[in-house]
Amino acid sequence: MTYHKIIQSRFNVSLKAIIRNQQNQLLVLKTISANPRFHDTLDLPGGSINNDEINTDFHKIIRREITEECGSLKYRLRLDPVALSKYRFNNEHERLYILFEARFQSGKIKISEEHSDYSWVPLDRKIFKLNFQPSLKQLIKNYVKWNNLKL
Amino acid sequence: MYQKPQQFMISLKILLKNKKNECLIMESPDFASRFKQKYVLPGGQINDNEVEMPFHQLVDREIKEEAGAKIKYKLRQDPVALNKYRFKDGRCILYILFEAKYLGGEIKISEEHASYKWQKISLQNVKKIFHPKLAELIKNYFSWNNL
Repeated sequence: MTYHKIIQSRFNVSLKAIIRNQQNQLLVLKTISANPRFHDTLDLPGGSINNDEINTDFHKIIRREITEECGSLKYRLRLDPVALSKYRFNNEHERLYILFEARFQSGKIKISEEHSDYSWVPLDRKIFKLNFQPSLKQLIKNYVKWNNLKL
Repeated sequence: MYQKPQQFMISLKILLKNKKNECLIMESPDFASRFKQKYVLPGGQINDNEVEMPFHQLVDREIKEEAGAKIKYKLRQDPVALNKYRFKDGRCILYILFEAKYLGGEIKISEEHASYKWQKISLQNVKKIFHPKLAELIKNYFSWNNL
């Protein structure tokens, strides 16, 4: 009998937010990147869990990321995660995305220096034709499928 | 401390519930453990060769391996809770909890576990049953899903 060494993957974990308004639109951000592959692709608000955040509540982390990247908005955050996706960057590392859902109530969007623009885009079938980062496209697909959304 | 993204091992766990709303819990092999809480939930870590596999396929494999190849269940597709934990040696693990309804089929646990039982779980008994890192995961499940 041969034994294969089992190696547990190590992941960077990124929390992302799908912020939806009452017009069935979601908030997307345009990426600024030195890498032409990512420059101008669409992003969702969020960020990685850092090494000093291991004891920080998940909701506190995602709320902070939303404030940093979108300004101080009023929204209702759903507490349980709504989707996952994982992605292997070439020769780099694995990344796990965890998606949280927020219902936008009010506030003025104010983006950070990480993004060049924002827009509200309709959550319909055309959403998958938009220029999202590939890992996020899968995350949004899983969100639609896992929550039985009719697009 | 310089802030950089933390690396995590990822463990998928399954809360398998029967019609009486009891959950499948299994006796941990970890008898030498200083923890008296010796029950665990079915599930396991994502290995290097599984990164490309869809989550539900990984969940299915873990259920069949640890709870029986013939069991039937209906999985709630979106995850229901999370927890993260840093071990003494510095490694970190992220738990992702899925919930499934048990529909039938023989429960047959693997050699990894000594026994199993169906147990009603509540905020009151969760700490008594599970290791603190799993207890926290299930507490999040209750509070995040308004149970």
